[in-house]
Amino acid sequence: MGYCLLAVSGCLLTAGCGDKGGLPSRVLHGSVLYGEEKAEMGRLRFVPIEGTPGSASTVMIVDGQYRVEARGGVPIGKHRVEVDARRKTGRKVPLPAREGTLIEETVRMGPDRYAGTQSPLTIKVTEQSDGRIDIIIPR
Amino acid sequence: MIQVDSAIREIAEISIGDIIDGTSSTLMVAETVRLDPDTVEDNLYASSYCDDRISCPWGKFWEDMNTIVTAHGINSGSGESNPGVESKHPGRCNVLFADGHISFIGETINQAVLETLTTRAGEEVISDNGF
Repeated sequence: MGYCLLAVSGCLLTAGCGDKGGLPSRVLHGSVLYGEEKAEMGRLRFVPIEGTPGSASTVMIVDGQYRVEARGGVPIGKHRVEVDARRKTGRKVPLPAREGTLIEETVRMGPDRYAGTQSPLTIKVTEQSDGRIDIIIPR
Repeated sequence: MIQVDSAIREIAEISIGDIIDGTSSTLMVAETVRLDPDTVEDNLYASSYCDDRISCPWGKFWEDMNTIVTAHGINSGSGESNPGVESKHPGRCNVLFADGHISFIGETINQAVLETLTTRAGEEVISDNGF
């Protein structure tokens, strides 16, 4: 039992704990912009491409910022970045999946193709990376 | 016949014959941790609704129908807004295939393989060691 506890706390204290899934990864963070305009909300998906191992990583955009922390971040390698950046319209609309619930209406910032599998944005995560990568949809 | 009832929320009737990719390589149910701010509950969701790539943007999911979401990979922590394939197991997540077998899939699974497993009629071929 003592060994168990030791192993767990060791994991929590070690930066490389994210390798538990078996792939070297980096915690990524940064700003999300449409040109120079901050993305109010939305989400980002990092999809491994060109032989990069592992599955996709999705995070929410909160106040123009994102941070991928789950399972140690994003695997080292090349990824396609799909950005569904949104701004609020100020109106409230019903949530189709749940009757009686109102949510903030949002509209997409930038061209639709950046939000899907056709997105031209790519990043390369390296061993040396400090984890800071800003995602910018060109205007 | 897979008769989806209230436990999986969406109503659908899919016969074994509709799973043309093969029941042993089609995901049916996966663990998920959905951090719903209103209810703070864990739920299970089902897949097998996606026929092809066209009907399932961003990988394989129909989000509004509360079906399984593999677009975000495994344990990506996206459960706050999406019913992704999520667990609290380090590195892995339990899934149920349409033939009834259960697999403890790792976070390192190739994304394309994961999305292929999600379709029941995508007509893709997966080698046995692909996942």
